[in-house]
Amino acid sequence: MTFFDASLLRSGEYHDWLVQGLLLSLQLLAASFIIALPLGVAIALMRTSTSRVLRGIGATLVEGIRNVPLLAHLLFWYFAFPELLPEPVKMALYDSNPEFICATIALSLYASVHMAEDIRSGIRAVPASQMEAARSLGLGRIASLRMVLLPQAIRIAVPPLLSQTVNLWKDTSVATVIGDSGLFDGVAGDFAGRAAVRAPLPGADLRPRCLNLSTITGCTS
Amino acid sequence: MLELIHDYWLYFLIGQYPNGPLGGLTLTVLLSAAALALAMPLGLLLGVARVSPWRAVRWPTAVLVQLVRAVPLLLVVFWAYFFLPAVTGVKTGQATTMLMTLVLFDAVYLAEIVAAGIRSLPKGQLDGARSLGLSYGQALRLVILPQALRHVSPSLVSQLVATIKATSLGYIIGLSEVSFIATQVNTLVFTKAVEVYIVLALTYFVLCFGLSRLAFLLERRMNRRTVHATKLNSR
Amino acid sequence: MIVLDKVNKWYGQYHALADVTQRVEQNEVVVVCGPSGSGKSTLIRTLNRLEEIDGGSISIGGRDIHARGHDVNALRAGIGFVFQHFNLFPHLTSLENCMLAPVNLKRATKPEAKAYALELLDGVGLAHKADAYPHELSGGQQQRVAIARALAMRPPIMLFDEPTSALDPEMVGEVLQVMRKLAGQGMTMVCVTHEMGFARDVADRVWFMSEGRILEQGRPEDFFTNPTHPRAKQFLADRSGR
Repeated sequence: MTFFDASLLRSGEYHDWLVQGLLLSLQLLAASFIIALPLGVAIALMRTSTSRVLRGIGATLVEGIRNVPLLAHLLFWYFAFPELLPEPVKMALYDSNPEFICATIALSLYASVHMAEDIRSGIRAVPASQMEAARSLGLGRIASLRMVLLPQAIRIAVPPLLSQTVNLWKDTSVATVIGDSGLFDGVAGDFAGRAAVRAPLPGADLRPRCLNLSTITGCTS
Repeated sequence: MLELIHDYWLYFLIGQYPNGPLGGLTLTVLLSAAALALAMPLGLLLGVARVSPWRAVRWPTAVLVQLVRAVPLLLVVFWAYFFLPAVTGVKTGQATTMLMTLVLFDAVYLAEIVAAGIRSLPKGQLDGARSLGLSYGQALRLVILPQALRHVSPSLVSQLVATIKATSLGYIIGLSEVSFIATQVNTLVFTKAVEVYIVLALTYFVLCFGLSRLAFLLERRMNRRTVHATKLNSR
Repeated sequence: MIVLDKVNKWYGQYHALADVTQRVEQNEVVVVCGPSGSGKSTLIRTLNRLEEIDGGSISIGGRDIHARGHDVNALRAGIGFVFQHFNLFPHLTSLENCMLAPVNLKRATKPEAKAYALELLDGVGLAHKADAYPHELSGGQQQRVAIARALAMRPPIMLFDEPTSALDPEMVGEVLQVMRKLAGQGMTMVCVTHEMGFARDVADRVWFMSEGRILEQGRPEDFFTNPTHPRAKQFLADRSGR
């Protein structure tokens, strides 16, 4: 048994799987980020709004999503969510790319609440006098938010948002791994050769998604 | 949902025990607590090293900490479970593997927390201790660390919450922690996916949110003490 | 007892201490005064090696304290230092603050340390606050506990770095009173302070510092009535105009 056979990485089956896995991760990252960031801004605005109701909803969303691990989110959106859909929608979901869609929903929500907290810190870091100045110029609330508060808040929040994006990238690897054996036959273990039970979700070729660099090195033995 | 809970609550709570290894929610909690407790000594050591006055100690520690934090936990879990046995010849069980990786991760995050706590103290504290003739080690042990750890106790609780969430990755190596058990219940029952996973989410929520509130209350209690102290000495 | 010989210190390009040469005899009380940024705090901190020096030497009891291999902890155990911001340990009571060093440096057993600490706290008028935590004390009380803490190690020398500068005016008096008492008992003291009244009454000598140098030194009655150096004259004129 070779310790680390680098030639496996450069071409052949493993190479293709590795590249596919990487591509999938990137796609998930892009899709989730596009949803998570605006959603995060919206939640942050809810939490800092003057309306108690909005603040309550925002806080509930953040605490509810943040205190549940990503894996449990993925399990819910993969397994439970389709059951809640009306029959034709459910079929439409299965016919397209269910793992990708469900993973994106889970990742977006999870990332959005973490981003919301960072943006909220950014908003709080902007002095209140900024909004006062904007309002006293005659700008409405939404315009003041859009043109004065948010640009400054987001600028302050860029470093933590960057690390949240890195976290999101790391989290896509959890999603890609789940997309294989662990999800469907319920026992991940030595999945490198195991065929997955795929009753509810036809048509998806799941194997490439489990491969990333770590599993390569495990597979060479 | 009530029927579901009625039938499976014990399995959810302790897994197959005593007919098998301990699992479920109990495993999740015990694993997290054990990982954090075991990581504490290492975390303290690394944290002190992070703020050491000697560059030869400070820099390698900083590199190590940044390195470990950059690697996704999932990767480390895989390596430890699939790759390490091939190298060392020793195959560790799922719980042991998970524990080892969690201890490593917690130690590194604890190091950052401890370092932040030490840095948050006024420099005069170390000066005061050393001016009495105490050595650096004595000053750390008697003056700096007791205060630093008290200051960061909310962060320590938050790290416990993070560890509880991290145990869910054990699912991927077949560890019978609570997410895995929930999925097994789902496979058995098959028609109640929504209920099963809502119960799972609620379980995590109650546990983690409860602990987070504790951290919040700890922080508030400490801020009150500082405010009281500054009021007494204000100009 | 303390001998400074051509002491020099740089912070990068900034010459913080320049050719400082002075002596402090036993039982002497020296007050160091001068404008802000003149290096007074830096100088006093070199005496117990809270700051290092780049040139010259400082000897205490005949031994070069900045020499390689000189035991820093033993040096500091033999010198009491009182800080501008007290630096009491907030997680310990007044009594525990005073007992910490003697017990952990094996100078006394716990009962001995406790007895002496109570005696010292009584000496500064705070025996009734022995079990109080620093955040329960006023600034003046905290500084008095800090003085007791420094005295608990029975040092032959006491250093004071602007001990009253961080206090509200009404509390300055109580701390100065403790310092006067100490001086009256024959303690060797070096004090950096702006309290000219204290200097006039208690000091044996005054050092006037500016820009890292001791520009003038002499007996307080000479210095305050007839300063010779123009910078000193300016300083005293500014002070009395206040």
